[in-house]
Amino acid sequence: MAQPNGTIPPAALYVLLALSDGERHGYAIIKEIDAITHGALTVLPGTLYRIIKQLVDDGWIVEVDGADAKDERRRYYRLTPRGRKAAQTEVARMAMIVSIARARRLAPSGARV
Amino acid sequence: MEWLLRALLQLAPAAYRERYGNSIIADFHSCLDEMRRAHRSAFPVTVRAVADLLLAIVREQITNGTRSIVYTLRSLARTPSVTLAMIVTLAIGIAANVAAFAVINGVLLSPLPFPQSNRIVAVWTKIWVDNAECTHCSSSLYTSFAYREQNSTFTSLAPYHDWSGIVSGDGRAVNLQGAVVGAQFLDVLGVHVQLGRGFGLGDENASAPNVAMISDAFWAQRFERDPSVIGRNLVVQGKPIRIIGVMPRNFVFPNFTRVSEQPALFLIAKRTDLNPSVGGWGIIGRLRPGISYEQAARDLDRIIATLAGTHPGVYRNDGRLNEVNIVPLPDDLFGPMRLVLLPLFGAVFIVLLIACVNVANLLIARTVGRQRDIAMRLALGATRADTMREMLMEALVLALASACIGLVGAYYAVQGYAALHPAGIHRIDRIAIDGHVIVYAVAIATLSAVATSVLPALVLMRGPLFASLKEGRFQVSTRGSGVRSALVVVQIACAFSLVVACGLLVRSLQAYANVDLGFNAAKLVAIEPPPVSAAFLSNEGLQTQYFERLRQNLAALPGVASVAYATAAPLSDGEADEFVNILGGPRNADALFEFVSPEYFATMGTQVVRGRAITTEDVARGRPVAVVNEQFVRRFLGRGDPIGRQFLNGDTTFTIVGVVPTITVNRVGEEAYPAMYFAIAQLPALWHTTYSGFNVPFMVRLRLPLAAMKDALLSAWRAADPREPMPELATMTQLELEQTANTRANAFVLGVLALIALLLAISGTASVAAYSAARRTSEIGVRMALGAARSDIVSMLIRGTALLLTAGLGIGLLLAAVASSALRPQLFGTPAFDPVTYAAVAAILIVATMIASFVPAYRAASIDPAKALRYE
Repeated sequence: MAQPNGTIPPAALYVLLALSDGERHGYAIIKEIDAITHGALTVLPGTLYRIIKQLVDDGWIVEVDGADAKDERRRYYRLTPRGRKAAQTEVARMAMIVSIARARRLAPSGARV
Repeated sequence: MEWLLRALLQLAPAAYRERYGNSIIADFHSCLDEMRRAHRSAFPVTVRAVADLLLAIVREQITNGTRSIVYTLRSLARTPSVTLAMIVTLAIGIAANVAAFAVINGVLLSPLPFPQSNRIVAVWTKIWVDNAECTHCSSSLYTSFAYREQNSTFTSLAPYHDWSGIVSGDGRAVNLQGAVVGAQFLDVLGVHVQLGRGFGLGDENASAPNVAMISDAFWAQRFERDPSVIGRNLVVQGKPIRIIGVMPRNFVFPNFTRVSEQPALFLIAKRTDLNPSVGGWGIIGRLRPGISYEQAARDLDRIIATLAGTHPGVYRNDGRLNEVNIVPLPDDLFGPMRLVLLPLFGAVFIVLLIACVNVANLLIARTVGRQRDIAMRLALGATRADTMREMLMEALVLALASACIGLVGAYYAVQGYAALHPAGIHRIDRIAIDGHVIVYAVAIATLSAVATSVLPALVLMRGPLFASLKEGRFQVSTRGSGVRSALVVVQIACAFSLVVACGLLVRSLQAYANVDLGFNAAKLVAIEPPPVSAAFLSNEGLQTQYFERLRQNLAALPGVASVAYATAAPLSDGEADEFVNILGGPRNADALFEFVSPEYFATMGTQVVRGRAITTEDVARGRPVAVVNEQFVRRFLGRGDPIGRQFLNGDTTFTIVGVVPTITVNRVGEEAYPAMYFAIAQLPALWHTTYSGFNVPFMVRLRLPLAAMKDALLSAWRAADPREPMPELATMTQLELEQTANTRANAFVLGVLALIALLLAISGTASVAAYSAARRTSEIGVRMALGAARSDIVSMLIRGTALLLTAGLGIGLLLAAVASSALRPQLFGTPAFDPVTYAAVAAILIVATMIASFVPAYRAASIDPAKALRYE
């Protein structure tokens, strides 16, 4: 899902983050993103699966069969090593920007941006 | 709400829908469950989810589409020369087609600028003369007033007439184009003045002050749009005329056809000296609501019947009553143009067809070349539908690129067409590449894309594909060869018909050039003046003196060889006819009659073939004599010497003293009319009653070109009487050319199209010949190894093309027959199925296609047999 200039769109990054601590199915990803952004970002199914489709095509996440028997209609997704690497690169890029900003007093030091 | 989501998903790309459709629905349900458990309204979430899905689908489609286009572009770029050939070919076909549509759109389709223009009609008179019908004869002012006063079917009626004259006042004198119109002219058209007032019925009275309206352009140019122009006087032909109104901006009356510019001045047609037999006026009228054209015609016929009671000679000809011919104004204007333009439109479609065939051929070749590639992808899971969609996409991209280039080409083509000044095509200024034309271009391009991609797709889809995976490295597939051959046959047929059509027009032009006009047109100038002023009307002597003064002034100029005047100039529409009783011959013989000055035949370069011309002695002796033309002799005098024969007109007996060849009266190549020529000096009374108020054309034989003499001629004219109007000058050669201008323009356009068609057909043939030669490479190798000579191989290969050529010519003959019949109204002196033309075109096509197929055949036959055998 890399843009031409190498960055990852925020919604996609959040999906990767949501999968960083294990497999989840689609609805769980929606809930997780809602949780970690404290409701600031709500991803709805239409957009979510568009992102998932692209991430799968890029090889950053894979589909795995449903772990729970009662979730047979659900498909679970897992981060691949490549996807993990891509997410890390993007976060590192953002960290660099933040540290430059801190040096120039554009960000309150120590604050969570 | 699930049904709504499922419905929306139908709009999504297949992959998205199939892979994630169910998951989306499932997650949506989970959302709803959670809302319900929390006792919150599900409505806002539902709305947002639906909107989100819609947005996601749109974005997915765009991404897909973009990817698809990028893929297509890359695929086309892989074969740059073929792609370029396809784009150029299609661009040419589309350019011609779009240009023709632009012309038709501007000239025929754009509506007339008058409200409810189909309620406006042109009123013509049908007159029977000599068992022939004149269906669009003009009317007299007298008749138009009768129509207006006695009708029950029109809301308004107005006569109109071209006019030109000198306008001065404010010091500057200019020769202006104008029009004389009836009081209700603006009412008929539904147009209002932008300043001042229009004409009223009171303005028509002879005693009313002279008033006029001016055009917007004249107002801007001469008065700088000063509103105080109303009430100011202009001096027109030496008389003061008050301006009462300004016509609206961009007012155009297309029926003012003889002038190249629209009128600057509009004068009122006054009720003076209304002579029922003096024609020359057009009439337009606006029908009452609910009245049909037939009802209006019958109404006016009734009026003619009444008029015939008091003026039988005028309204009855050959014993039959004149009839009214009502033509809706759009048809009146567009009818003749349709005849000319629609065949042209057919021709450009043929060219587009040939271009599409060429492109289809190239696409097929490309497809066949990529067969293994496509077969591989099908094996890996792509569907046939996908492949067809890709091919359509390729053709669409090609077509749209061609359309862009084609639009540019069409723009220049349209400029070129306008520069040809095709006669009889009005409203050329309305031809433009506007919104309609662009939409048409896109539509035509899409149609071409579909047409050109259908055939290659069918070729590909027929039969098993996986076999192609097994084909050896050098094998050229046999797929599609039948289709390609059939397409070449179509191309040859189309090219044949177009070249035949062009050839027929060229032959017509030849025939026109060979017509004997009866006079020598070289450096012969016709001077056509507008009507003389009222000053001459009362005194016949004054008028003839004026003409003599003019003649002497002109003759005195160096550079003028001789001058004469007559009551009608050739190749114009000014003739009149009379009935005479031949002594010892037919009664009521109808012949044209002309008054001529003594030098007339000498000036015209017409030899008197028997007897002599009229001399001053005849005038002095007072014996009425006449000269007649050969057609007169042929039709009325039978055998024996025409000199000395006599005929009666009214009470006067005329003796024939000379015979001249038949001079063309109206149109080059017309049927010959019998004519009689009289000396003005012998018949001043007859001359006066018939011709007072009219001016006569002067014929001047120049020693120098007109351009050099024009100013001198005009000054000499003015010197005879400065108050009289200034004339138009035209060389006879110019008038002659004007009559064939239409045919020339059409021949040129068809020629260009035919050339394009021919080139496309030849290239199509060449490519098919090369293709089939390549296909038989191994066979050639075997034959050569077995001892066949090169010439044997060449003739074997050419035989195939010859077969295609024969089939193409056969179908082409049928197509050409259809085209020739359509072209028949425009042909002259050439039969529609002219054998010379057909044979010549067939010969051209045979030679061209044989050469086109010879080259690849020769190259194929020159191959090293050992190499050829390696082809599987």
